[in-house]
Amino acid sequence: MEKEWLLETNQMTKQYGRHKALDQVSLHVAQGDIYGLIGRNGAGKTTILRIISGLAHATTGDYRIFGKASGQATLERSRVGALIEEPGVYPDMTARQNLKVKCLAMGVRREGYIEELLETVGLADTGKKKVRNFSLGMRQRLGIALALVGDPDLLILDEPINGLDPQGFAEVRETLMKLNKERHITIVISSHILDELSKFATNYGIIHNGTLLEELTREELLQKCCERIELKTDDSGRACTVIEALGIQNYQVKDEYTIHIYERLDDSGDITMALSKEGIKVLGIALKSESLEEYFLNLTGGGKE
Amino acid sequence: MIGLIKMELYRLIHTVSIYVSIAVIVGIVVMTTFAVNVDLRMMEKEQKTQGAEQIQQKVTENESREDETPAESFASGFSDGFISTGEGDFDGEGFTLGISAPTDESWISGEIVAGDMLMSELNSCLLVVFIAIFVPLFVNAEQKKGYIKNIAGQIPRREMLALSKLPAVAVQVFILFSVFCITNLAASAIFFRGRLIFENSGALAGALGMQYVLHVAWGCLIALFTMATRSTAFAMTTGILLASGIFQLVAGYLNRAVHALIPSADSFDILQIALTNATANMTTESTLRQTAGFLVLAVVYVLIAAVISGIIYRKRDVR
Repeated sequence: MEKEWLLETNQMTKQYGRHKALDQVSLHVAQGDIYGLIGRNGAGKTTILRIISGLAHATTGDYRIFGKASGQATLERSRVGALIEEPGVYPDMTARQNLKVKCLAMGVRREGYIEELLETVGLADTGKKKVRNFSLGMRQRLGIALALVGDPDLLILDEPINGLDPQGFAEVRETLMKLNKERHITIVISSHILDELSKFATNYGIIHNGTLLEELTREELLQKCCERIELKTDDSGRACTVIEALGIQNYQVKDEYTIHIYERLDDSGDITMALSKEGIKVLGIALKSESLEEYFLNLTGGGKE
Repeated sequence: MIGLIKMELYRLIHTVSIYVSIAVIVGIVVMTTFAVNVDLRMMEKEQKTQGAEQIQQKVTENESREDETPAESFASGFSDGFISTGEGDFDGEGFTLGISAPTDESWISGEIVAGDMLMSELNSCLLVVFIAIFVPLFVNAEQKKGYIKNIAGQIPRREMLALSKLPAVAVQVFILFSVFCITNLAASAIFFRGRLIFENSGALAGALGMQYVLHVAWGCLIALFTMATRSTAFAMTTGILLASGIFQLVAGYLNRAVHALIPSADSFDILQIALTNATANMTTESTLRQTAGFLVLAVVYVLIAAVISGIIYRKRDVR
C-alpha cells in the first residue's frame, strides 16, 4: 500500500520571469516528521515553503496537503502555521498584542490561550516590553508562537535558526522538539546550516538550484556520513559470506564491487586476511567518514556553483 | 471575515500612527482656524482704514475666485496664508493648485455660522489630504512589517484580507473626521468667541453625513492604491496630488480630448466623477439631486476599491 503523506508536492515548478526558482520538485512529508529542507541561500527553500504555506502559487505542478489537492484545501489551510523568512511582527506592540492580532483573525477566543502560547515559546515574562526591544532569538520565538496560533498540525518554518547564537538556537530547537513530541505537530524547517538541523530533523530534503536532489531519513543520512570501512572486492556476493562468517552484521552492499561495513572498524586487517583465504581479491580497503557538511557539499557539487 | 475586521480594528487602535494622526489633525485644524481669525481681523482693520470702497473691491475679488473654483484660498484674504496656494489658468478655465477654503465676507464683523465654517474647511479638502497620508500608513503596515505572512496562508479566501481593510478604513476615517470636526468647532468657539452661532443643524448633519461618506470613499480609493502598489509613498503622493487639484489640470486635457473625439459629448466633464470635486462641492446648500449623485459616486468608488483590491489579493503572491 502506498504511504499516505501529510504533504506531498508533485513536480512543482515556480518561474519568476526567465528565472526558474523551482524545477519539478516532488517532496514528501509524513505525519510526525521534522522535515529539514537543506540548501544554500537561493537554492529555492523559501520558494517551496511559500507555496506550501499558501503565500504563493506554483507556476506548474501542484501539491497535496492533508490528503487534499492544493486547490481544494481551503479549510485545511487553517491547519498550517508558517514562519517565512524573518518574523512579521508589529514592533510597537507587545508580544501579547501581536498574538492577539492573529487570534482575532483566526477567531481564537479561548481564555488564557495567548499566555499558553507565550509560555510554550518561553516569552511569558516579556510583559509590556515592545517587540522592537526584543532580541533576535525572542523575535524568532514570537514568530513561532504566531505560527502556532490556531493549533496547526503542520508547522512551516523558514530559517528560524538563522542568526541565532548557540543559546538561542538551543532554545528554538527545544521548543520545536517539544511541539513535535507533545503536540504531535509535523514540522517542515529549512536551513542552510546542516549541522544544526541534523540535531533534531528526522527527515531531509536536499535542494540545489531549484531542484530536489535527494530525500532521506535521519538514519540514512547518518549512515551515509558515519565512519565505515569501505571495501572494494572483485565479488561482493562471496565477500558478504566471508564477512558474515566473521560475525559482522552491520554492513551494506553498495554495488557489485563495494561494501560498506559499519562495525569492527579496527578489524580491516582480519577482513582482508579472511577474504584472501577464500580467494577473493581485495581491490581496496579504507576507513572513511564524511561530515554532514561534506556530504552536502559533495552532493551539491563540492562547494562550486 | 468578522474576525479579520476585528483584527484590523484592534490593529488600528493599537498602532502609534492613529494617535499621531489625531495629534497632527488637532494641531493643523487649530492653526488653520487661528489663521482664518487673523485674516478676518486684518480684513476688518483694512475695512476701517481703507474704507468701504476698497473692501467692496476685495469682496468682489473673493466672489470671482469663488465662482472659478469650489474654494478660494483659505488664506485668501490673507493670501500668503498658512497653506500656500498657487493659482493658474487652464484653457480659460480657472483652477486652483493647493489647498484652499472659502472665506465668507460676512464673517469679517458679523456672526459666523459654525456649520459654514466647518463646511468650508471640509470643502477645502484638507481632511482629504490627511486621509491620503494616514490611510496608507495604516493599510500598508501589515505588508511593510511582514505580518501579512502570518495570516495570508491560513485564510481560506485571501480576498477577505483586502475587503476587511475597507471597514477598518471607514472607522479610521470616522475617527479622523470626528477629530477634524470637533477640533474645528472647538477652535472656532475659542477664536470667534461671541460671534459663533449654531443654526440649521439638520442641514448641517445631512451635509456632514454625506461628507463622511465621500471621505470614506476617498479612503477606500487610497487604500486601493496602497494595496495595489504595496507602496505607502506612491499612495500618499498620488492622494496628495489629487487632493491638491493636480487632477484638474489633467481633467482639462481629458475633457478636451473627449470633446474632440465625441463632439456630441460636449457636456462631458470628468471632474464630475472626481471624489475631490464632490467633496469640494458638497455643502449644506446642496440639492437633494446633487447629494444623491455624490452618494452614488461614493458607493461606486467603494465598490471599485473592494472588487479590484480583492482580485489583487486573491491572484497575487504574498511578499
